[in-house]
Amino acid sequence: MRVRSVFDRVTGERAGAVALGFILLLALVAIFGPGILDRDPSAISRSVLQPPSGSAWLGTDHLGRDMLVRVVIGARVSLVVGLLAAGMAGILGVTVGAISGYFGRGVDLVLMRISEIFQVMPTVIIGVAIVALVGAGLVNIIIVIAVLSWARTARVMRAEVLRVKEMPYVDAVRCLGYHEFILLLREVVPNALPAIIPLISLGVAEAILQESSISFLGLGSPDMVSWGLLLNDGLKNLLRAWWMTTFPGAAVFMTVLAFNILGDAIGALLNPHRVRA
Amino acid sequence: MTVTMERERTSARLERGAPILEIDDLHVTYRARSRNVYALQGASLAVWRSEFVGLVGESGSGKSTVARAALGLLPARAQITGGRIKVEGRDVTSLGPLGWERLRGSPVAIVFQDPFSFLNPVMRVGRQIAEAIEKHDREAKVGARTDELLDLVRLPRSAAHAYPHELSGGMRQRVLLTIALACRPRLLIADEPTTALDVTTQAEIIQLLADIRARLDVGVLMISHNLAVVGGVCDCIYVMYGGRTIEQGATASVLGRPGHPYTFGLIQAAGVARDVRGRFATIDGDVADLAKVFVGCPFVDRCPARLLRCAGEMPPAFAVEGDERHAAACWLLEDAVRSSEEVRS
Amino acid sequence: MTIEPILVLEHLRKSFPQRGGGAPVVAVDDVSLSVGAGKTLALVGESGSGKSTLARLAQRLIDPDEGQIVLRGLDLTHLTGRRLREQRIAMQPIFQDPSTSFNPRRTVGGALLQALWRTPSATRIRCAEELLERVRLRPASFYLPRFPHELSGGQRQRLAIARAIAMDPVLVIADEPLSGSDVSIRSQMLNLLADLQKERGIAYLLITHDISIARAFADRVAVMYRGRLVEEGDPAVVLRDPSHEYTKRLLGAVPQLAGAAVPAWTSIHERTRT
Repeated sequence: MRVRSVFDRVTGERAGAVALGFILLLALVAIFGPGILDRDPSAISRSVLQPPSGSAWLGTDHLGRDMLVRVVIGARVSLVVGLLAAGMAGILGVTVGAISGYFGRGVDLVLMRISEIFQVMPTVIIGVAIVALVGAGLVNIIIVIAVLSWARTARVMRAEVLRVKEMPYVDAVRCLGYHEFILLLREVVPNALPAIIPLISLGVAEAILQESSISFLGLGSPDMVSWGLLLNDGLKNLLRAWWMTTFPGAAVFMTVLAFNILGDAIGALLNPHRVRA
Repeated sequence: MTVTMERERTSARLERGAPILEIDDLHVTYRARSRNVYALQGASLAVWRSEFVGLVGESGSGKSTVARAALGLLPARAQITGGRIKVEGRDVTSLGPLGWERLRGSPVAIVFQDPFSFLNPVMRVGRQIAEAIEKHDREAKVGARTDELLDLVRLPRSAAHAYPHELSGGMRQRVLLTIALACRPRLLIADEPTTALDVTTQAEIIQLLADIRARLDVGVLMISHNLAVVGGVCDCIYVMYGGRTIEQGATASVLGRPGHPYTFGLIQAAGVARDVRGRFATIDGDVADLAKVFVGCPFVDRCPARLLRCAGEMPPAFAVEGDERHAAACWLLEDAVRSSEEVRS
Repeated sequence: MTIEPILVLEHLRKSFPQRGGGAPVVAVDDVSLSVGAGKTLALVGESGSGKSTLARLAQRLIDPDEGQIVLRGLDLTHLTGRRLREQRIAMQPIFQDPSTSFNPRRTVGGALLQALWRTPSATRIRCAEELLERVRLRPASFYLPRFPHELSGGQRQRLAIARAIAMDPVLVIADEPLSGSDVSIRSQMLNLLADLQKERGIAYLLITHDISIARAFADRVAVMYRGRLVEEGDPAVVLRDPSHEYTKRLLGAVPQLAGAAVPAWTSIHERTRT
């Protein structure tokens, strides 16, 4: 029995709902925002380094470009990268983890050694290096991030599969005459997945952060308007134009926070031991 | 139902003073958003010094709640909505956490069911015993006292150097006993002390509890669902069902001539007895659901001998066969008692 | 006339490697026993006796190091793949802990339908309903869409019995099926198991640590201690006048409950019993 204190409840489901709301809002902004605003994010103008005002709600940057449009476009990039990279890493991790955990022995050994190699790599550094090598571009960045982050999901999935496959109900269905693969797919994986789902959400947060880091370091594609890129631009004008770093920075922070909270909330919700209050 | 009051009236008992633990018509509700659980709806019991008392019930009877209430271990969402708890004559029903802290260990100590969960896995056993000694027995020399306690529970002295996982289930249970006894309690509550153990180990632990009671003159309250175990060693028994105490009395009396249909059904089922048609004696239906407060007898749905009034009126305690120390809460006993003397509740 | 036993285990041996190195632990050491068709063999032992390992060996959930497992005259010991899966269906398990015996994400109906895959799809749901009715989970339509966690422990064990008989097995291997249940529920289940045995001629390999259940329910009893079979025979004999030291010790440790005097109202009791 878990005694849920006031603190737990506030930071639990309510926070999760708020986080989800924020993410949905962000998605709407990302999808429809550029259309509604109908402005060119790369349009250079003469009103350079203008603080937030009536005509430019988030100010303009050092080339006179409208920050609002750029931040909104940046949302699109971040969400796409975050979701696709985390999604790919998730699928890869779940598959490897499930096979490794269920069949064990040789397969397990090999797959886990491989995953260890990927796990110990410092993600941002390697990511940056690979992007520098193969060239930046949305697809490349997504693949790089996915390849570097599947290992953790694989480990957790494997642990869950190891736990679930020992359950009596798996033996019960085995005795009913079902094939091992069907057992894996229908009995084991569905019961192992809930542990992974919060990880996916956290993975989105991490992917967004990684992409922002790569772009911030100047290795992203220059025509891919991402928050990281905006932060890079803002760096040189840090003291003169606070709005160039504050708004993109806040956007990254809020988005990453939202996905983290959502991940926790999903984890709590899917926990079978949760006291149904 | 204040069944204990009639015990106090018995002159033989008056000279024993206040019981170490007395629970009087206790009502406890676990509050939750969608539905409450009325875990206790009138639980009563009393344990005097040097008595070995058994509290018997199945799952959902409320017996574990009683154990926790006796030590102020109820979780935050549990509320005492009626009745009293008294420790050595002092009313502790509304005691706060600090007050309870002073009471735990001495005069009341508890030994839980699953020894593995209640021992620190990364600390040697001797250290854990020493912690208890240091807290409750300041003047004692830790080393000597640890040895003394280990001897008492018949553990080898070398056990002190072991980690919990290196010991067998029975040995771990004895370690828990040691820690409890280190506090020099006057009442030891054993919550299902044998459930996680093998039959042969069970017998040893029960015997050990009986020995400890005799040698240290402590009271023992053993909570169990196993009638046979309780029957073998307890002086008196309380039977709980649906959050209430429904029968109490001397062991031989309760198990030999049960007054309540539930108790009778339980004894028959426990003995895997076969009835005249070769069927195993059983109690129909499922254990009572504590999601609601019972208006009448909680056993009414499953009772093979129910009367019309049982569903709507909660029966008070009646003496069984004229023995005022053996009482059961059942309307069936009313007629039998009317001819002699009805126990006022 | 000798009737072929339904299950014969011959000289089974199984050991497991020890984690910290050292000699492997012999869980089952040269155990041979047989279960008669339609009869109950109670396998009595404490923890560490190897009884659960023996049950898993019998169902080929793990492979023996030595020995044979013969079901209905067919040697299962070295079968694999589809042949094993086909033959094994005739032996169904019931596990000790009802809370882990069912996939928490599958409904009651789903779990039973899984067991009814050999029934033609048109009649499958009706069969599932009949099974639920048979184990007194009524009304069946209420229970079909429920999830296991919505049922009480006793109800889940009854569901486990329903699943076990769904494939019309000749043998049910029940590993401590009553241990987690309350005393009053236990007797109900014993009655159900006894009825099913009479109706369907199912044999039971009943694994238990509870001697009273073995005494009351089994046709034969076998006692295991530390992987070895120490005594076997008619329950009335073995459990009253055992020959082996361990059996004597086991019986000595079991607390006995004397029967209670029948109360006055029992005449009403007998009349209202169903």
